[in-house]
Amino acid sequence: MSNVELRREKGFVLIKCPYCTAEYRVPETIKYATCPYCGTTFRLDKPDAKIEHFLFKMVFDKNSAYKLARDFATHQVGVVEDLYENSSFESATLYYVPLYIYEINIKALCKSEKEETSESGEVEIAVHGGEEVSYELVKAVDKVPIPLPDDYGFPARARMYFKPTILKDGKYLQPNRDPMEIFNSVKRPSLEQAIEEAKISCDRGYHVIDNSKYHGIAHYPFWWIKYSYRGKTYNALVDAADGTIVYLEYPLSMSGRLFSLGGGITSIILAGGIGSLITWYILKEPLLGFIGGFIATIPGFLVAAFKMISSKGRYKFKPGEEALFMPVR
Amino acid sequence: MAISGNEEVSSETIFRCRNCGAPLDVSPETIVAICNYCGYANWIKEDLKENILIVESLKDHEILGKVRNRIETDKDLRSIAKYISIGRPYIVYIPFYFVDVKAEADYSGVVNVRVRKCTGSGKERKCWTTTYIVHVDGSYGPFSASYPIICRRGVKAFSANALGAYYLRNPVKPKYISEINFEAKTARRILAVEIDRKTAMDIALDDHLDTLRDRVTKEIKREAESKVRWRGTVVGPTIIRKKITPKNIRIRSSSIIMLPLYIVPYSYRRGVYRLFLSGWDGETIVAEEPMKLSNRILWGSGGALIAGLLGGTAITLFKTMELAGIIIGGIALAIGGYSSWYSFKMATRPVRVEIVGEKFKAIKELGEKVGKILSVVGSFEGLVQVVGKEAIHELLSRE
Repeated sequence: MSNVELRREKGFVLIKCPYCTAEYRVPETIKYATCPYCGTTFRLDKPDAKIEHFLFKMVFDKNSAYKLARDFATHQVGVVEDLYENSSFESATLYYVPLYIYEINIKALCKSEKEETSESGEVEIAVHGGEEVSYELVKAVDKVPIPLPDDYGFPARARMYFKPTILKDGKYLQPNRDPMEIFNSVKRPSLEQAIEEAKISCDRGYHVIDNSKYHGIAHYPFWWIKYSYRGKTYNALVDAADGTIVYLEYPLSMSGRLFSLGGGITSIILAGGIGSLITWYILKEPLLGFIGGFIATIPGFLVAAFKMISSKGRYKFKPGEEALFMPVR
Repeated sequence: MAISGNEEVSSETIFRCRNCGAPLDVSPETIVAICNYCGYANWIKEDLKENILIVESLKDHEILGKVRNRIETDKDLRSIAKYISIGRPYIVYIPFYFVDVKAEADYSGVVNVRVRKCTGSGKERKCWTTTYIVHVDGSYGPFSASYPIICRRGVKAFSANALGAYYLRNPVKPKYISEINFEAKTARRILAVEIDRKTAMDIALDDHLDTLRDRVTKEIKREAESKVRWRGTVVGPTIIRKKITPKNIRIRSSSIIMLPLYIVPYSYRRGVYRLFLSGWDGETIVAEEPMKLSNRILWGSGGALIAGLLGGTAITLFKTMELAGIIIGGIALAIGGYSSWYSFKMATRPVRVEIVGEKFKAIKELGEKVGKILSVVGSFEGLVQVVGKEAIHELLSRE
């Protein structure tokens, strides 16, 4: 591969691709350039550095993504009964969101301890200090135009190599954050933790071995779906690789909202009743117990109230609540 | 063209079948590519041929039979079985290392333990608190555990973790990947290995030693408490200084094992739900099920019941106007509030997730991740340790 030819002018960089020799230009604010003709990717500040760059495969097309979102909306509390019949697809935009992949591997070894390098699958360590090992994904653009949670991870699904055709299929976001600056801030908490562990472990001091790596970029596909119900537009964000509904708006029916709020109010009255029975029996003052039961039910009532307060219901996938309050990936 | 397992392939690399010369469909996942024209197995990552084990999967129709059986026998699904239609199964092979870690720890610590003492009885009864500085030391362990490590960077998928945990409980003998007669479909569903064995062992070591340090910290507190228990009622320990040195660590990792995970969607009325099955025995490991109205009402009323009980109890305790009563009442009210929040979250969730066989453990782990309210409860527990137990004893010692 020959060297990349770069020429800067008026906020842009003119690039001659080293692989296919095509010429194209990109804003100079971006950190990586991907040739729209052959897909070769490189860092603008280090054009000769080898970059690991791949995409997750789009398994769900826009129609499947819309159906997933619509069907998932029918699971929600208080949703209108006729959503299935009276909703229709409006539009879909495919976003390829870039994420930087970091491996954090920090060891704070005791002075006498040597780093184990065995590849045999068996290691013995006499005395050990501290360690922190994890993988971190960080959004590579300052502003992601879709509501994607910060701690959203990769699916156990297939990846593919970059193909220039995807530039036509969707909005391919160019990374504009400095990966090495982020790397340091991502590493810092782990470094502090490993040192803290070594301090309570080692008698005669410790030394830090940092094997952390910046692995590269992955572009992850998401469908931003717009669908309509009785003249109003609703949005949904669907993971195009594994079909997870990441964000969803859905119409709530008046009867559903009243039923749910009624359920919340009934719970408050029920809890108050039970509380008043207790204080009536012990203190002969039922009102105080009612107040106690009422206060204890407020957090629960607020859960129902926030869901039902607007005529537009909202669901947000929270990775930490997977399999508990959320579906699994 | 064959490359080594660690070598990166870029989009510009073109692969052709070694038998007929036709272009091959190669992705970052490809270990072996089956030619679409002549069916020849082209090993793309040749060095992994003898290093990867694979657990063979049941066929699609066998999996569908297992799914039908589950739907007809499951206590929640059998009543709605006739309204359920099963979709097309999807298989993916996920690479794992299984890492065993065994470790001991030397420990020492200086702990302040507060002890409550009382003399006399009735109106003559006098109580006071004394703090003792206790030195503890010893060895802990050996402590062993096994960890399924997914060989993929940054994967956060509950179903994949559940599959690894299920294999630890229900292992079957894998084969070398080179012994398998691949179909093109199977070959395309194998995910490539992204993490080397050393890193997998480091991840398991980190998990294991974090658990070990937590356990030893509890042991230091427990031992310090037991040393002064004969002096009076222990109120609570505070660690002033501790040393925990992990030692005699032994880490052993398996080879890479590819485990088949089946995902089978099914529709009930207008909703779509999924079952996640282990591919080798067709057992459901995670099931999404419809939330019935009765489920929602049960959770809502259960939350209200507990909130009412704890709310009423809290007010009764507040009425004593004693420090102990106010603290315990506050804790009761907080737990009541948490119960109602949790129950309403459960009542309004879109689907019910059943983790077969691991239900309570998995939910506990997830609860720890959710963490918010547990940390609140935890801080109350800390409060009880510092102030509460003393106050509790005072309250309980009264007639």
